Amino acid sequence: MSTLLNFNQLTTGYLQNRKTQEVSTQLSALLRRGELTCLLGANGCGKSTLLKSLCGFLPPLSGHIQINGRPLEMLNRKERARQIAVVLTDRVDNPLLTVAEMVALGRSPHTNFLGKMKPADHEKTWTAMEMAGIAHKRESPLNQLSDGERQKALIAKALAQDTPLIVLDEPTAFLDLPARVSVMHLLRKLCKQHEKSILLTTHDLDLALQMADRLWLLGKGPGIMTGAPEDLLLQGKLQSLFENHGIEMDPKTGLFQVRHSCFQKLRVEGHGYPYVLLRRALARHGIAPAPANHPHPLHVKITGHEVPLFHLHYDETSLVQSPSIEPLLQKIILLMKQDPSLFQDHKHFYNNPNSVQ
Amino acid sequence: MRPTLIPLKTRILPQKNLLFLLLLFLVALSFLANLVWGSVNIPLDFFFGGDEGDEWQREIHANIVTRTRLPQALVATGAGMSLALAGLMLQTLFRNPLAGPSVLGISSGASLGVAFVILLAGPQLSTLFRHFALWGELLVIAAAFTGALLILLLILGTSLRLPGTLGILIIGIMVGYLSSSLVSMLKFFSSETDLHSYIIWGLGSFARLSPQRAVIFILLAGLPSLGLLTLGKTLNLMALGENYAANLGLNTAKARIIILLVAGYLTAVVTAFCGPIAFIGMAVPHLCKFLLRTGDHRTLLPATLLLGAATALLCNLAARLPGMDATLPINSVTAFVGAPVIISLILSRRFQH
Repeated sequence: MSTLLNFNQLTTGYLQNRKTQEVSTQLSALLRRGELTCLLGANGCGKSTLLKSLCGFLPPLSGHIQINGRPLEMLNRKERARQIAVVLTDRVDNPLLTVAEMVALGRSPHTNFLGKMKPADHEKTWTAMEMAGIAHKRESPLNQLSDGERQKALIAKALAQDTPLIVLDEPTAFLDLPARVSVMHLLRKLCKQHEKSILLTTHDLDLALQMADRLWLLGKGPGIMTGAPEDLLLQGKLQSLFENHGIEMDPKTGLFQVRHSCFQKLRVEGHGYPYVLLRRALARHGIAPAPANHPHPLHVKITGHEVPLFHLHYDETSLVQSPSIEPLLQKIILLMKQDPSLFQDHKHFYNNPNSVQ
Repeated sequence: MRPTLIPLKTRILPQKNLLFLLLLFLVALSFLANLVWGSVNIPLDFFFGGDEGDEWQREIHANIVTRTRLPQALVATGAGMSLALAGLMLQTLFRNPLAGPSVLGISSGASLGVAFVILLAGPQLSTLFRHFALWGELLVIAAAFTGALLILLLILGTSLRLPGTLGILIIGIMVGYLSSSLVSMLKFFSSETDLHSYIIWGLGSFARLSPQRAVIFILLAGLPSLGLLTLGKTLNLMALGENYAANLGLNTAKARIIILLVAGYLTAVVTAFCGPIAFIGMAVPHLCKFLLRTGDHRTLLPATLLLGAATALLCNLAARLPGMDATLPINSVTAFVGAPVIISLILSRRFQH
């Protein structure tokens, strides 16, 4: 697939009072047609600054950006407006403007000074609203939209602009999970069916890993790492980005999860989905499950087929027996307060290192 | 089958056209009412060629209408539309519902200019005023215009250096405070008669101008206002926010300067000729959005122009207290129209969120 946008040895930053303030240096990457690219990085690492530079809002301190084979700084305003459309986190402060009116504003680079809409412009406005799945709300004023609908209306505006590249700044922020997934599905569809190139920033690591064709990783140091999400995982580059931040990669799923520091142990006998969920609940309280051959008297057994049944035993005495995890967990927390030694690693409990395999 | 956008527009359009017709009718009606009602009521026959009444009576009526009421109505029309348009443009530019012609400090600048002429140079000029009343009046207009333009230039200068609009807004308000404080210093050291004439100027009036001046005023304020009706697309884009506007190909720095320049110029002209007129510029755009329920400036601009003219005409009529032998200062009436609009706006916003 052909390259739409690329930049080489780019330095982004601000020019203030004749002093340059560099934000990121030595950035080189490319964006292909019809691909969804996610730009990831911690807060304050320069994601927004890079995005502003790519949109032409902020001239780069050094290096060149090429779009469609032409240097970005050589394009005039109108030409640039026909290459790049943006969806920003900025508030649109015109509450009475309807969706159709706002989407029609996306046609601005193609209309005259008075904003006269030709039939073709109406047609493109309609198509954009349909592609974004917001046509049913076309006459609603912006202040009556949900956050997800507003995001789709803004995406429709960017589509109406009819550009090969769409840049989105955190399009999934402030949305609930279904709305986030729906926006990402929409963006993927636009890439695949309509040959748009999309670049977006996000903090939604899991969603980015599953939806992006390529990732751009921006760290604290110079440079930018790029590649398919899976390659970056294989090379351990994604993991390194989040080192020492209480996050770990689950090698079974290839997704990231919160890392709890577990200092206590509890023997758990069981398997399958109930076991996974109980392990997660215990991890939240700093307890790691010990294997079934763990010789400690306090332990949990999971029985039942259709509906799981959780038993908390001390030797053979049953302490709690319940189909839900919560009562079990409460008893465990109580015991942990009363006698922490019950949960000590057996190394310390038996004070016998040889009993460990 | 999907409906096309064009029928969608035509479905709204008749409604909008009707509203425009109503607004136009309202302007015409309030203009006529301004000619008819006053301390002396002039029969409608006079305007529509009736032959009632004797020659002498007709002479008097003709005098009243052409020498005082017509110029007043013209001035009110021009001032109302200019201020309302300036208010709409500034509210959109600053993305602030409480912005208006007065917040830029331009009317304060005009007040400062007038204060210098009346209060500081008053004793020296009093002879001039007595013997050449005409020149004194012109001097006041020139001073107000100079003061307003100086502040406008100051604000434009800062807007070139500052990104965004919040800085300009704050500087405008602060400059306004500074000039008010200078004015109070001048007031403190001036004589009672000068103070009185300054206060009268500050109350604002549409009734100061001779027929010739009224025509000049209409040309200075009204014609540029009509030219502004072409700025609909620019304002729509600016209302999206400067980043979106820039992404859609608008030169935002240029647009910002044009809006400031035009809004500032209109405010300066009106303040120079009528004194500071409060609330019309701030309240009419809100009234307009409330009536038309639209955020499209291509509709809002002409509607605000018409509603601004109608509001000023009606306020002028109310200030004249038809049938009575007294008049109220115009600003006391505009406040009664404007303040409730602003209050209801704030309350309805509070309830929305």
